[in-house]
Amino acid sequence: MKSKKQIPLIITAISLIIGFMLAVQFKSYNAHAKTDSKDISQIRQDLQKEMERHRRILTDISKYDQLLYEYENPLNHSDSLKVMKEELSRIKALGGLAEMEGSGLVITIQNAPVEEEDGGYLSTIFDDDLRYVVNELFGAGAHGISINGNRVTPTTAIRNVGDEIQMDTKIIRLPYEIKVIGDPNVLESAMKLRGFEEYFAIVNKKIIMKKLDKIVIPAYDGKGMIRYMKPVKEGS
Amino acid sequence: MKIHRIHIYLALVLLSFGFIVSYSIQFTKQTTSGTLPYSDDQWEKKQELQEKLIEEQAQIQELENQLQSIKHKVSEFEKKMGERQAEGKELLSELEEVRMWVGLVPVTGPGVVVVLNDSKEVPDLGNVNDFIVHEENIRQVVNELFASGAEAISINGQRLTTVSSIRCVGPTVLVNEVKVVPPFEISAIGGPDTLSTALNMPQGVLQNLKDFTNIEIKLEKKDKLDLPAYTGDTQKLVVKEDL
Repeated sequence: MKSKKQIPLIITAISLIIGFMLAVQFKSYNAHAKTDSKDISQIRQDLQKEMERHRRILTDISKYDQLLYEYENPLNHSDSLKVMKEELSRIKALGGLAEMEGSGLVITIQNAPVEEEDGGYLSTIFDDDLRYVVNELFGAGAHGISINGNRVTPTTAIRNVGDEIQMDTKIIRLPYEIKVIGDPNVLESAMKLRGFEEYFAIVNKKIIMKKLDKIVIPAYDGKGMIRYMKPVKEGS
Repeated sequence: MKIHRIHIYLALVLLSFGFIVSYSIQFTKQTTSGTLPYSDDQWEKKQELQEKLIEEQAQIQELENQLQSIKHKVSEFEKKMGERQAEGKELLSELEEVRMWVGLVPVTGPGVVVVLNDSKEVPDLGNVNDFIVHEENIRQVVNELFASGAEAISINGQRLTTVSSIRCVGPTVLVNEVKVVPPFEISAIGGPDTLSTALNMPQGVLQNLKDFTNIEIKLEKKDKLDLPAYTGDTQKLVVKEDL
């Protein structure tokens, strides 16, 4: 029969098809996994973030536009100097070099009444914890923060040195009084949302939050040291 | 006999063939109707969103350029005023200094670059958390850099300022509310030797990261680093009178 000779051929053909199908299936499985990682909600979130950035840049542009306008249309010389002074004080406040006043939140972290002696380690607050709080507050739109009267600046470091926590060069100790300027309600809900009350309860600390219409936070009492950096000159 | 054997082979092959076909159908059915129902409609929507995203990013780029050019004009004007009056000159130098410190102008100088990256080896066992970079790790490095005298820091091109935060939202890290992905490149201007010594201290930050995690760490001293300006809402940072 002629089929005798054809059968190996048929088997080969079928095997080829199976192999091909397996390959396709494997490939489509892999491709599938890839598209998974970026689904619609992810893209939507990204888009939201970009739009937020868009908005912020626009406000920045309008700010500088206005500044430029005020510079270019001064009533007299002393006026444009005044504009410069205003700009300087605005930036100083931003960098923590000037006092800031506004509504906000005062957060006090203090020892909770201890039922039994837990020992030192479990009841200690570390630099990480304070950094975490400060970071979350700025993330929630805080304009300025001071801890125990020490203003947070662009280059502030909070770190453990021995058993103490240092903020820049100052030692800060319990109770911590964190003054935050910003929208009191937003700040408070951010603190609650992140579960700081429970977080600090573990180490026997109590958080008291007070919303106030008027808070004053002091200026940084040092000076911004600049030794290494230079402004980038245009075209160089 | 011979034909019989071949029949058995054939039957086997066809059986597995049928199995694979049915499995295939099952599989595709499951994936389409199960976890990810991508109908044409949704595909279209996704496509649309993606296009919007790209468009938005292009617009932002353009606006950022615009902002830089306005800033440039402003500083030109201030320079002119500084030349005209003695008081203006003083004001100008202070303004320049504070702007640099706060991060509103691009700066250049010597320093170090620290790169933190997720581990390439994916663990079969053990805690996956030890193999990826957390926002906490970035904060630790940044904090240590500032503590040892860094004057300016940027993370993946995002300059840090007073109100910057380094946060984790879901699986992504946000710096200044902008999404950044690994590898995280932390550039710091300051004394290169001081900074790298501080980071490499025994029991220091890098040592701890090496001991307790499996992330990849690279540290490099640089003679010249360029850091961008902070772009974002500085409007919200208002002075006393405005509040």
